[in-house]
Amino acid sequence: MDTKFISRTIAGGLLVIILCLFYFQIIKGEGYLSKAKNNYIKAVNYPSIRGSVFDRNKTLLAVDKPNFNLAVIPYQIKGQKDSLFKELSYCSGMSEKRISVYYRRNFKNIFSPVDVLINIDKEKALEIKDKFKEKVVLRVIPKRFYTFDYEFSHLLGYVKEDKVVHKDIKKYGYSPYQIAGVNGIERTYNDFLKGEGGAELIEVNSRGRIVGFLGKRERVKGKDVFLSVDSRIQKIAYESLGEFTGTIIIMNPHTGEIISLVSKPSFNLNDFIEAKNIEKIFDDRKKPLINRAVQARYPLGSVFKVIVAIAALEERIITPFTTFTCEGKLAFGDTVFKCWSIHGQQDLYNALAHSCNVYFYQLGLRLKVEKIAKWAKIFSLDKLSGIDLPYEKKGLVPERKWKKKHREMNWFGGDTLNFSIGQGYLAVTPIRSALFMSAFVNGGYLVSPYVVKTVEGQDISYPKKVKIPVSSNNLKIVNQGLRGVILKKDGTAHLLESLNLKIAGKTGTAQTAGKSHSWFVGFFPYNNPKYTMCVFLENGGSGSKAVKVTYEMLKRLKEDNLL
Amino acid sequence: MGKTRIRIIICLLILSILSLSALFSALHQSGRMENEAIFYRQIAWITIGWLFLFAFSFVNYRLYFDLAFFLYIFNIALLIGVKLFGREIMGAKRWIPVFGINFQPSEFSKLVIIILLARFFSQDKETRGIFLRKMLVPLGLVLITFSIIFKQPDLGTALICLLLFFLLGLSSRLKKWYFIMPLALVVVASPLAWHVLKDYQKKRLLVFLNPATEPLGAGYTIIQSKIAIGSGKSLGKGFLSGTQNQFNFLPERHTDFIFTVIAEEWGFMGSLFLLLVYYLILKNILAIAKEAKDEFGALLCVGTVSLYFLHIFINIGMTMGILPVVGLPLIFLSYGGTHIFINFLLLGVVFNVSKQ
Repeated sequence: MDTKFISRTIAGGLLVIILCLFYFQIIKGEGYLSKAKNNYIKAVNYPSIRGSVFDRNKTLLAVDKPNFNLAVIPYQIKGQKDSLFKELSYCSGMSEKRISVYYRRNFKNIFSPVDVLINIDKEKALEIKDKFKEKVVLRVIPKRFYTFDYEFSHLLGYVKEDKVVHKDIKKYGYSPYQIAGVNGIERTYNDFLKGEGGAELIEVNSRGRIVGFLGKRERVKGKDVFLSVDSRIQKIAYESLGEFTGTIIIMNPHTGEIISLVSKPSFNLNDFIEAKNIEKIFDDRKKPLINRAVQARYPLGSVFKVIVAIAALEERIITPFTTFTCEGKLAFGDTVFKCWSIHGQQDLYNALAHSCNVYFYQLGLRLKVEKIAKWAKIFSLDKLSGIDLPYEKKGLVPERKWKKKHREMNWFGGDTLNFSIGQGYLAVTPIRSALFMSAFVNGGYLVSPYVVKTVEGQDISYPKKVKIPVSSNNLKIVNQGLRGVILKKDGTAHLLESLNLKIAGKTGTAQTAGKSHSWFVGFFPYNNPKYTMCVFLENGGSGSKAVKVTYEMLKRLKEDNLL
Repeated sequence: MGKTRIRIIICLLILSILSLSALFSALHQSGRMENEAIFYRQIAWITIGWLFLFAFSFVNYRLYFDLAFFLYIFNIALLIGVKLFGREIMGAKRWIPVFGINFQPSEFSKLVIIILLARFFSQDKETRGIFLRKMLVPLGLVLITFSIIFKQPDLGTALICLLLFFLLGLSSRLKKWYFIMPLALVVVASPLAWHVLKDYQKKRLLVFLNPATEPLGAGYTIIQSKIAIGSGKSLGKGFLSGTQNQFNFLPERHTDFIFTVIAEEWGFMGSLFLLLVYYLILKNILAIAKEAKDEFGALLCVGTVSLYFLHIFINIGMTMGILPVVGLPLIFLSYGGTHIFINFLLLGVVFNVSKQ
């Protein structure tokens, strides 16, 4: 009997099988092994609890609160989804449609719980869990809560779910998401605040039933952060801004501690993290998300005269007693540069008190653009302050080279005149103005501002001071001039004298294409300054508006005994 | 006893042990024996199988030559009987209860077809009317069996009956073109067969072509089986340690997917060993065929080898996803009564051929 045919068929067939086995088990074996693990190893996630944020008096500002969610496991509700959602809707009062939307949005895989009822009342959650037993899973998820809806929005920033990579266990269903800070303190100090999510690795069988326990990673709570900010002062500062767009900064001139930092318009932080009215916030032409204290720059206006004054003294162009005569205007070339009044003969003290433009035009003509820019840069107006808030903007100090490069025009004498009264191209963030003012009162040091003082009891502020090459005598002269702004009956901020706080400072009206910006940058008490402050109103009108706001704020702070 | 037969018996002993150990593992779930009864029943089936082997080795195989037509008619009657009175399990009528056992006449058909074809293909050397008598008549008879089984529905067994016809025919002394021609015809006509298939059979074929279309439905078995086999890698995960098996990701693992359990727990090496044992059995049966006293005996051996081979190839092929899932057991290994009896019985017949 000839068995060749069948022998060959068998040999061929077995060879095919062996080759296939070789392919699946040897060549692709590793890949299938990980798929097999993927099958039976699942992770149950425990999201991390973020650290809390407190103010300097340990008032709670931000905290993770437990949020009660009810979830379903897709595998277990196969075929009865619709009827289950109907019942859940009936018990919870949430619409069936909403439940379905959550189901679709939160679906990860058929073994992982999917949140369908989110942030419900604790009692209700327990009641529903009791009724539906194994069909639903009660999940307690930490959720960010902010004590103040509006006052701290820019300072604290906010959080959102962010993708993080946990390559090792991600494939077993470990949540690739973690809550991360997006702006403000929440962002800068995210590494301290975030903590670590935990997970349990379990073995499940094909029905999703837990049959074994492989290991657990404990979650680690994030660290608590303590601010230098006083929430009581912050609240009053916020309210004092009223309907104005703008910012108020109050800080310690010696250490750089920020005591209050508010920006308006603001937004409701608790609504924002839940994405409520989010389109309205994004579409708002006033851009409420911007922290105007550090993320926007403006012309300084007459506040810049403080820098020009110290420059002129240091460059020995004037003495405090050098006088110029103001006739209400100064003709330069073909153009007439105006003052806002006719001041007559002015020395430095009077010129600062009256904010006389002509006096500073004369200084500008003598200093020239180079020297003005040099002193603006000595006070770091063109640099970042290094404050522990994200997305800070640099200031701009114009120069001949800069204008040539960016405006493709030569620097004209008129530019110098504008520059000397803080108009033209000069642009500075409000925090920067508070910092240079601090240098005048702390003996000529540039300090680094900071908002966070301690993390979990550990002082993380490293007060950094840079000495400016400026004589303390000249600083005293300017400070005396600034005191005159309030003290003198015809000073531009004389209103503040009635508070009896020995305030010194400088007003500013920065002209813009539209309504002027209004500034008041100052310090008090004059003899032994404890605070510097910057009140800035975007398109707020003349400097007197900022003085008014400052007055109202300090009055309340004084009444409440907070100074 | 001849050396060949002793070799076969040794291989068969190994397979019996393998069958019970694989079943022992397949019945475990998360370290606990889930269904002991099945294990003890398999011990009983295998024991009875061995008895069948020895009993039938004493029955003169020439007897089947004379009984061929009677057996054929009897089998057709049984198949029709199943159609009328059979027990329906999972949408298919394949079983009739005999003494409390679910007997599967379609398994019996394989044996009958082998005997029938061996008779047709081995008769005298007349030249006139050969094509009609040796080719068309047996083909017609096989097609009758095929259609009835196909309607049960049991696509796997039906196909095996048809394939036996071609394998035996091509091994016989008849002209090859008798068989190559209709084989080509079947291949060409197979797209038409699509319309005859039941919905679940169509689905099986579609899923075979792309298991990912239904990862939790019909494709689930194939995907999980491939993962199990592949994850065994070269040396396997060890006895009772196959996660796919132990955590219940493999359906039908004690019957049609028993190979998957072996491949996962014993790896490539274990699978190779199993294939080697199978190969030795087939090779030794073919050695018997060569030495057979007459052509009928030789064809009975070749038929047995063909049947074994088809089962091995199709079953392992479907566990790896290279062939559609048609529901064929793995010989001597899968749990089940009838097919184990038939497999042992056929070997008994082969032994008798060897003795004569």
